[in-house]
Amino acid sequence: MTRQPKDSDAGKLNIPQGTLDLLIMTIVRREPLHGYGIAQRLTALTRGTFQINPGSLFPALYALERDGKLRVEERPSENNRPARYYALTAFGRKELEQAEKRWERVTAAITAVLQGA
Amino acid sequence: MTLYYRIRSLVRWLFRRDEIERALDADLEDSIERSAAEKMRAGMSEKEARRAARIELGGVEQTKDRVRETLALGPIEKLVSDLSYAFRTLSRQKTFTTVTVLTLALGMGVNVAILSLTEQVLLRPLPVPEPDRLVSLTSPGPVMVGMASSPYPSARPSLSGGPDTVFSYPMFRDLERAQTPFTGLAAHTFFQYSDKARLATGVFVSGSYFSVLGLQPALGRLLGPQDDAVDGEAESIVLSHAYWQSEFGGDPAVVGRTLLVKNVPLTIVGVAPPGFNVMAVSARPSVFVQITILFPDEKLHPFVQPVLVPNHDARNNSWVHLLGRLKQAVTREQAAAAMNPLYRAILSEVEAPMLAAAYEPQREAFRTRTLVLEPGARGQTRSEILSPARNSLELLLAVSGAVLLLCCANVAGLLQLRATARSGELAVRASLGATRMRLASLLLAEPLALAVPAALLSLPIAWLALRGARIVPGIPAAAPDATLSGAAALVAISVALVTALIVGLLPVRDLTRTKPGSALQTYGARHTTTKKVARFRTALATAHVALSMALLAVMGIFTQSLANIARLDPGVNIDSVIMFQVPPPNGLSTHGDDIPRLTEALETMPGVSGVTWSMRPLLSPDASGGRFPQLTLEGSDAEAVRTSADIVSPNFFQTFGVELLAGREFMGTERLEHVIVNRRLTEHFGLSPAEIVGRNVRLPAAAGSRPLPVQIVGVVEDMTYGKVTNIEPQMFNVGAAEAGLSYGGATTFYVRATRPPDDLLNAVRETIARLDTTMAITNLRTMEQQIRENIAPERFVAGASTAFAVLATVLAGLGLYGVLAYSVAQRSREIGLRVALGAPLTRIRGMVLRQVTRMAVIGVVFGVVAAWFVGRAARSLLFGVEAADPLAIVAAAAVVAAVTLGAAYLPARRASRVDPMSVLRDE
Repeated sequence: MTRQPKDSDAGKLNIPQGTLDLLIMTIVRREPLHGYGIAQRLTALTRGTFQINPGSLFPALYALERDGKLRVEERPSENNRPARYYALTAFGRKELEQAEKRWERVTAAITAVLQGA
Repeated sequence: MTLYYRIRSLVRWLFRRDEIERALDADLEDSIERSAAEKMRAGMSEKEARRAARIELGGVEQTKDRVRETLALGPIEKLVSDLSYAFRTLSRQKTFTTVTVLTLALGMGVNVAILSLTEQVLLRPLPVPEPDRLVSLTSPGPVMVGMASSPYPSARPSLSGGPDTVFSYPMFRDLERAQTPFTGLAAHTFFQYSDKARLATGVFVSGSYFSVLGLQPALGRLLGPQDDAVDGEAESIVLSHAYWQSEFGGDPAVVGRTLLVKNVPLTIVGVAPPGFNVMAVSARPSVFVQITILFPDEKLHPFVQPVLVPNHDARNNSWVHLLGRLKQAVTREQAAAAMNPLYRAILSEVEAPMLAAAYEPQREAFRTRTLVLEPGARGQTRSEILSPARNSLELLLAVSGAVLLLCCANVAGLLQLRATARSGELAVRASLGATRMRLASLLLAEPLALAVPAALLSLPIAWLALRGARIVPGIPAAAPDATLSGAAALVAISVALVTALIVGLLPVRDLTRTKPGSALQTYGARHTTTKKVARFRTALATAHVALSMALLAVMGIFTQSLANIARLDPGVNIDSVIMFQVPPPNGLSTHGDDIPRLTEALETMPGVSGVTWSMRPLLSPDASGGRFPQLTLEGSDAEAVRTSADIVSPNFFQTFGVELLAGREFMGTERLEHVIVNRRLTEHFGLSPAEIVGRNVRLPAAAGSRPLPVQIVGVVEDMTYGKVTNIEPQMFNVGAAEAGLSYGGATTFYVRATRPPDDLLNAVRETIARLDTTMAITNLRTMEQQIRENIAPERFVAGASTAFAVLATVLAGLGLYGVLAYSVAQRSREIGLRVALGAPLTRIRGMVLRQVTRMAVIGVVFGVVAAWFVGRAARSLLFGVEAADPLAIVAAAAVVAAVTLGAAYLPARRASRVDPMSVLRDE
């Protein structure tokens, strides 16, 4: 259903399947952030390797909120419009910790295989 | 946790879509603003920056769509995929699926039908605004002598309850003038009249009637206070909507036309709103007539005189029903507190002094009667037409509830079996990381996939059941046009759905609790169930046995009761007799001179050996309405006795073969003050038949006139008049002597035939049509039919309990078989081992039999207790049988034992045929 763009650009990569949630939760763990900010932070942190378009970001954000991992804080933005800031819930924090552990084991295992081969 | 959020989000997506839409708008707008702001800092103009930001976002609508899809499809997609998996698995298990769906559909369908009937007959409020503010007035307690509903049921239809619910007309006007808690107090009463050779129903209504109900006319105007001014005068009439449609084709020009009711010309002023059928369920009145109407003088038989209506003066003629609408914010209790002082004042100051002849304690009891305000939202719920239906429905509700319980228990057993069979699959899923929620959802999908088709299938079943319900006594009269009700369907089906889901969850609890590792091990060990699961299934099977035992025992007592009733001698010889009723012809009451004319015509028919007549239809259970409340014997200290009365033809006793015990029968010409009484009445006064002959009895009399001096001239053997199970004190008076005397109601004729009575039915109809084309006859039937109808409620109860007992027993047999077959299959390794080690086959069979015997014994014990409770609750329906009838219990236990052994036979045989080699080879 989701149309994956091809890895045509030399410097850019598609975000590996299943890791977008992990990335978003990690980004908002430090401080609550709005959608645009999350996308900017992701590009900045990966130095442009991962870029995310709103068509993928927002469904993921809304699904995380629905599942109780994120919650929304409404704050006035600079020009006084209501802006929606996404923050990690306690449940989300627990999930994130587990996901990180899983991720570490997966990468360790994959690295081990790659190095051993 | 996740499930909670999923449900919340589904709810939000379904019901609060705009909230999500607003959030989306805010998010996207914010993104564009921020992106544009950044671009402006990089040097773009505001317009350019905004455009670039928009392009970067790549289609606002597409983004929104994808969010919507994600939110909506998450939960629904999972459900759909689980369901389709369930459907696929179930379609492979054809027998299981068919049996379960049919069982559930049957349970739901029967309940939908019964609940529909209950809703319409017993629960639905009147179609008027704010029905909850209506109250109906009753006054239980001793009545003034002469206060009686008519002893002749045909004189006034018994649509509306006993003497507690009627008041005299002067009392109504007194209360109406003085009352404060109501916006208005209305009076109404049914009457019957002949409308073009058909019996029609009308209602006398006070001027306040329509405004108290809050009804608006469909055409013209309704009756109002202006129609109430003068007692004895009436010129206006309102048609019911149905009558306007059927008789006048809905012609608006009907207003202003004249209608003849009992020979009184009345002007049609309007039409009542559609759907309004007065205050009693199933009454379908044609017209509403001013309660102030008086019909032209009729020369009445003295028995009938005291209860002639309308009567606007007599305080001892109670005939109007009262209905009030509470003022805003007034409660029923407050209204009762306001009304009672008024009522008591009228009783003690106006009415009690009229009771000169009564004993002081009786007068005191009369003075202290209270006015009770009952909820009137459903109209006249005490209607006599309703009570047989109510009895039947209460029984049906209990039984159909039990059926649903049975069906659910059976389905629970089947699902438990399935869950056990799937335990391997679930264990594998669990060890592969499926969460408990995921497993629950997988397991829940199955009962849901079974319940949905069952619910669909239950609707046609319900429709059939509703049609079938016409055989239920009381239902056709109380709900002539009952339909399936959406609310009932919703209740019955959702109860069944919820039950199915709860039942579906039971195995989930066990399975999801077991650790994947141990579940996998058990899986490896060929499906050994946990002890808990096994115990649950044994308990279910035992409950089945108990239920079937209970129903069998109940069936036993009802069947025995029916047999006792069928054996009863009604005291009259009804062989080859047909009967029919003649409603009052030509708008007036039956006149004495019509009777000889009819009798003569009938007597000269070929194949007729005798013709006789009475006022009350013989053996008609619902015609037992009227009694003279208090009949006393002059010169006797014995208490007054309620006595039923009838006016009969002189040859009545002779024609029916009723034995004369003392005195003489009626002669061709007879004085009106001579009566014949039955043995029961004689016994009440402690006299022998010979002693009572020649004594005088005292009867209630019309207001103002002296009590009639009535002399007993003969005593006859007891005969059943109303319900066959009931013999009451009776008094007979002869009527045909004076021509031109009327009885105020229909006459029942009896024709004894010398050939099969069925052949005579048409001949009688033709004879009467030839005699008088305007004469209507009703209820033409053989007396065999009459007596069958008389015991229809008992036959219905016996039939229904038999049907359900058979159903319960079959289901119990199946349930037992399932449990045993399964446990044998499970234990085949153990059995194989035992056989290999030399256990004799009898012991192997004994193993199975021990298991089944324990279930049967426990089931029978519980069943006997349950049957006893049911029997006690249904005591009023029993005749000549105790609630705990040993014969019924022993017979039921024997049937249960037979079924249990039958169910155990196959599994036991299979157990004894387990081949030790093949079992051990599998190891």
